[in-house]
Amino acid sequence: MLVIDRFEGEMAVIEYNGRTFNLPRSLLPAEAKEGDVLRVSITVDKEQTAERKKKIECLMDELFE
Amino acid sequence: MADMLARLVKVTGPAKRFALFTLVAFIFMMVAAGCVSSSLNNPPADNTAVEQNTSVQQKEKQVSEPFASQEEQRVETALNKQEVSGEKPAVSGTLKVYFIDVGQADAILIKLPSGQNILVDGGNNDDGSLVVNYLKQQGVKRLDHVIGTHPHEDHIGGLDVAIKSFEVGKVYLPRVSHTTKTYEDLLLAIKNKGLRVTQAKAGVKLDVGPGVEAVLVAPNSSGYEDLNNNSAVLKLKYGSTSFLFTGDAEAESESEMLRAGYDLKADVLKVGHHGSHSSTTPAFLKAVSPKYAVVSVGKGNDYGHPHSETLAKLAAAGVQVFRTDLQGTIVVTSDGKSITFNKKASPVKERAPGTSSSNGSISVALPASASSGDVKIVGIDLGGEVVTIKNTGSKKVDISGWRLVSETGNQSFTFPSGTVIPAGGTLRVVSGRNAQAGPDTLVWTRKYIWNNDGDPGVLYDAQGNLVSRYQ
Repeated sequence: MLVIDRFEGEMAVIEYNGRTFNLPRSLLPAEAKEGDVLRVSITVDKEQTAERKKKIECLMDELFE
Repeated sequence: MADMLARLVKVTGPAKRFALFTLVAFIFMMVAAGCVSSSLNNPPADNTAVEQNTSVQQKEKQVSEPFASQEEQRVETALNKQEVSGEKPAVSGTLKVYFIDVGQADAILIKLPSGQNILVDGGNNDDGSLVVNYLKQQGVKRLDHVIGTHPHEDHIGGLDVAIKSFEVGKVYLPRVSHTTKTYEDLLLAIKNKGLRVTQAKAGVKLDVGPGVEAVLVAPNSSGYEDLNNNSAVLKLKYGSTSFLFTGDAEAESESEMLRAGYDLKADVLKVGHHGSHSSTTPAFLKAVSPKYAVVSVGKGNDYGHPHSETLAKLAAAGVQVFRTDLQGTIVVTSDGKSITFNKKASPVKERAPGTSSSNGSISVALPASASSGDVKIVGIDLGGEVVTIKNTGSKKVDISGWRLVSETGNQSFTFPSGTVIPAGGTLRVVSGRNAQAGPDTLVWTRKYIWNNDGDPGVLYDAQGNLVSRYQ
């Protein structure tokens, strides 16, 4: 369970299994408040991944002897 | 698992990736640590300080030497005239306050001359056994009063373990709920011990034995937007010496304490909210008029605590500052007449390069670099709620992440990223019900910010350096 313990400036402090970690507040919905329980779903962006890979590999090709 | 983590890292957008990296790193650490919540186990029986390898926010924590006599600093506190003339019970014995180094959190032990003990907050979740061991080292067998200032994890985290580990008299909490497991654990620890909770609110007196007065001066109301303002604030008076423990009380609660007319004057101030700019308003600081301030804060914390404007205010008021991030556990002793610290006061500008602390001199934060120094608040229309900021220099200045602060109300506006004032250009920041955005005009809020009876405006750059102040 992920719960917003508090906000510290631009950081949200999230409680997860009784411990905490920081998440930029900008990633949370605007209405999120202290004490709100969060539901997180993470998906892989295949398109952007491929794009990034291409970009970095281009840069590597340029630099590697 | 590794495969899952690798896939998790490949996500959209740079900001999300950063955040998810944090999340993934956290999950990884949890897995590496076997997801064991040691705070729920019984603390070890030995009395040595424990080293803990905790997650994310905290690194290693070890309670520093309880008393470093070679660094002892003795300062006589002036007797308050009123107190001299008033009749006082005979003062005997010492009162000791231990600001335990629990990183970016609060945990304070107060040993009273009567032999009673008060524990104010218990550090983070992972600090439970550290706090318990430290208390045992100090000979604590019973906690007569346990105060959880407010339900945030960095204050009540270790209290459940402390309550399980000692005989406990009374428990005081503000009557405000929180949905975290941490808060539930605290309530269950209280329940399992067959204890009840005394509501912490202004006016509640603690029966701490003869010679010492202990009274809560906040919270004075309820329904705050932020849990911090529910903080129980404890005023302690022993002989002619006094202490104020503010939890995370912010500007709103501070102004309520002032309005309620409590005697807030104290020799030692536990600075509110780890030195955040959300607390320690000028009016409050003036009412407390501390000689010494203690900031309970973690080294290199992610929130920039203590904020430089708070340190600047304390320096300007001539207050000697002690910090757990620089000095470890801080022990203060009062014999009812004088106050002794086990450490020397910290240098004022810890972050400033080349600042020598050897002579103990106090320097106030100076305006930032030349380019940002060209940006000034040139006018504040208090009634119309319009602040005008001008770039008087010959180069454009990026003020992303800068902050505009209304000093009286201690409200703060952060300039969004990409805010640039061209050379010679002006920018307005408007607030109030009729606030409207426009070219070179940013809306702070629809609320009214500026106090028409006078309210200085202060501009800080992204590093928290004071750039301009307008009065």
